[in-house]
Amino acid sequence: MKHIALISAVAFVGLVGCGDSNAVSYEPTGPQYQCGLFIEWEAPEFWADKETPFELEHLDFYTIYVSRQADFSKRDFKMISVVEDPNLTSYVLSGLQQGKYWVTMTATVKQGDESAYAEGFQLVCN
Amino acid sequence: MKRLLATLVVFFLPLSAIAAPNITITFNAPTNYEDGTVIGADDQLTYRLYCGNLPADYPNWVDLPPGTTSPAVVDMSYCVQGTPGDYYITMTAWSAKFGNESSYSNEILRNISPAALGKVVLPPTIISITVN
Repeated sequence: MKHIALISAVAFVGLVGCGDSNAVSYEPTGPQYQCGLFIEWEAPEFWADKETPFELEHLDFYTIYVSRQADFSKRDFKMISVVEDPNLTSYVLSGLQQGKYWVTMTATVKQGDESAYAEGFQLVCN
Repeated sequence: MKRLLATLVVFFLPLSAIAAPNITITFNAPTNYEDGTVIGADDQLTYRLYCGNLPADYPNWVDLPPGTTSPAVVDMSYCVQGTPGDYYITMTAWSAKFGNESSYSNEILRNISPAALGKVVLPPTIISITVN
């Protein structure tokens, strides 16, 4: 059985500030700002053996994971969103509170097996 | 000792036509032993799946659970040693009553896809994330 070699490098994206720094919060215990994310990706082209071409007809859905931690294996996610249309290559997430996040994705094939995590992106909602 | 007749005729459904990961096998089960005696209800037959890369050469086999006519992903993966590709596949029937095995059924050449083996796909590649 061949295993997937996870690429450990984490790509950093340019950070865009969000929210209004002059706004006054009337909810001291609640989130002051929220961010939206626009995510773009490329569909997988190979099975995990990295040799056999992957046909999109086998793909069932994508899952987007948002975590406060860089280590996705801890599965401590703040948000999990399923992209049910396997033909999509972009998606919008909303409702993230202030702070630093790491975002990754997986692809799940129709028989239920989920890929490894994609190379993660770090971002800040401020 | 009675021997099973080699009357297994194996058919494989095209992989592209099935949604399930399993490879669906249909076959005509033997009804008689080699001496012509009808196989009774007291003899539970099980089936053995053989796989190999060359015609008439099947280095690996796996027993299908009783009553099963389609190998589970783990069984199929074992039969082809986890490697997708083109395989020559045949079956035999096993008599529990007499403890012997039929000769090989007809041989079928099929491509065993990664999907049939429960393989995972590489993850997608995130191109960009924009925060707003």
